[in-house]
Amino acid sequence: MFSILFFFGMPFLAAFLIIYFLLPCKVMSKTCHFFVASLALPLGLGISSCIYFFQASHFYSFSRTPILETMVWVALVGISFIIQRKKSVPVEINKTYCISDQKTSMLLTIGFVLVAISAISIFFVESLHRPHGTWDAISIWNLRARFIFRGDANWMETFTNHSSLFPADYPLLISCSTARLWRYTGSELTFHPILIAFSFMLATVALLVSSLTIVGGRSKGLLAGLLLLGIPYFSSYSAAQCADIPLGFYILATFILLLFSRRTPGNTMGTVFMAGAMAGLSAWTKNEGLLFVAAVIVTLLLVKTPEEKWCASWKKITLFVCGLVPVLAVIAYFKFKFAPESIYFSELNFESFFEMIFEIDRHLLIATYFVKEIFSLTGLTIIILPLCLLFFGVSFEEKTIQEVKIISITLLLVTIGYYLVFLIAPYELEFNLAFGLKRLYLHLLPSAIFGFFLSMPPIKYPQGIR
Amino acid sequence: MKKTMQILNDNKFLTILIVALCFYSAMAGLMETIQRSYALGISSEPLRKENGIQLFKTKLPKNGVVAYVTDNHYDLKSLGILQYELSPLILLHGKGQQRIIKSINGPSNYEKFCKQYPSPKYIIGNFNTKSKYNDFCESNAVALIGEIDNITLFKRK
Repeated sequence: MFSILFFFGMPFLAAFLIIYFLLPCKVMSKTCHFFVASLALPLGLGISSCIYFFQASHFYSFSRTPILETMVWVALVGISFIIQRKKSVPVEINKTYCISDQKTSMLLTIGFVLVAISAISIFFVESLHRPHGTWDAISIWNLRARFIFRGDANWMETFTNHSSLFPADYPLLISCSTARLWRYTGSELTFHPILIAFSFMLATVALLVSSLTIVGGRSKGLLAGLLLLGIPYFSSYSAAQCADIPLGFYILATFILLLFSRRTPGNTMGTVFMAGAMAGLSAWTKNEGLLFVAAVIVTLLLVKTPEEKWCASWKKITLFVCGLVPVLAVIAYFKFKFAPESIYFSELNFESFFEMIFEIDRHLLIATYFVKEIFSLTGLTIIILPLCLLFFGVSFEEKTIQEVKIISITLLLVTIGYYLVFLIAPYELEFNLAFGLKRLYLHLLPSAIFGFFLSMPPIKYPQGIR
Repeated sequence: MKKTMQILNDNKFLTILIVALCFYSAMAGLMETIQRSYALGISSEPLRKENGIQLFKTKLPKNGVVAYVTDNHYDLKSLGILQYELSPLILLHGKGQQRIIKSINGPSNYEKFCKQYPSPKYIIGNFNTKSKYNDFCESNAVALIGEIDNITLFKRK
């Protein structure tokens, strides 16, 4: 028990300190600490998995002890501390509106707690029922973790037999995180991947609630959290131990850090750098993350406020890319050294490619599924969106419009990418759509909810009716 | 009318509606999950039994390494073997059974695995004809232990 606490706690604590030093939001102590904590664990697990992968590939004999990892963490915390000391006085992040006197609805708070308890119960019942996760977790994510853990020094050879790891080009954040815990604790327990899955579920909700609380008030944050937790598929799929919920987290974290960098006066280099690192980790989680990275860079190039100069815009994009590079280097090493070519490219035949692209029936089927699966994912809770629009309206503040633009354009580009992938995928189309689309929507769901509530003006609760 | 408008304006009505909708949705999800779990048994034990897993439960070693040979990785799910706590597993599968048998017979990844692990003593396969698993037993020096629903269990001699 102590070892699991230590090996789970160490990356959390180190990442917490790094974010705390680099984020300039110390004046809002309580919410900010909660916000930093929600970012810290996934960031810590992501970086740890990169280090573990590097260590296991190059210094396997040391991989039973976390020496290299500890050294890297100490160095990263030290560098962040030095950067923090050089920075100016911490400043407060600009809120959308000045709503400091606004009270949170008691009803909303109680409702949030009740729905959170139901969602956590769903997670635990699912985990009891399926301790090894769903089929994808068994045959992809945990299987790789088992190969890395059990393969000892020869674990890399397991990747030479690509058919046994099909699809072997999937990145290894989740698998390495699980294998890392198994290796350091010395026991291959089903509890470890469950714990990782639970952390990502909690972190996603905590990040959504805390970030919206910081920029738009607690009511907004709680409403957004309520909506996310009110979608049972989110909590039940969190227990699946697959990489979709973690990818959703990293996408959301990228958007939020980019937004914070726009709202913070002064030096925001650290925040943009971290946004880049989060985007990089999304690509280390699933191949779809690479599509997200491309989409977010294109959007950053496209969306610019009239007063923003090209020079500043380029500087921001360069910093974002600098944050990406270390993780992309790990991904490139994995892709070139271990992974085979993606099935989407290796089995691509130009004749059938053009045939598929111009087949109207395929387009119709994909479009139908794209609409149908939104309702299947959200269920009844989708009614909340038009209701909120009707009652609360939309904010027309220039800053908010720009931020919502960034989120919407990126999500739209990613959705178009998914559409095209379905169009050319060498699988039976309807099965592929029925099996995969709802999961893909989970990547975008937290960010879509964040963008939606960000675009709303503040929610007011007059005295006496709380 | 005025009072109704007041309630609508102060957002109380909307908050109640949203909380009620989310709570209903989450509780319905929880009930469905519980029902599904209990229908299959919370530990999926009946599912395993249905698929003949009891054979492997009695014959497999607690800490052995098992090679699974199949032409269809979905068999793993129906077999439930990966869900099975006792199965440290080497997974081998490919697009065709013939290809796998061929690759096992030659210098292949299977042999690399065998060298890597001290005890890949048990092999599970889905050979659907006796002649195929006879060939397999002969060329790989394994003995047939048992068979249920075309799932066969071999032990290395």
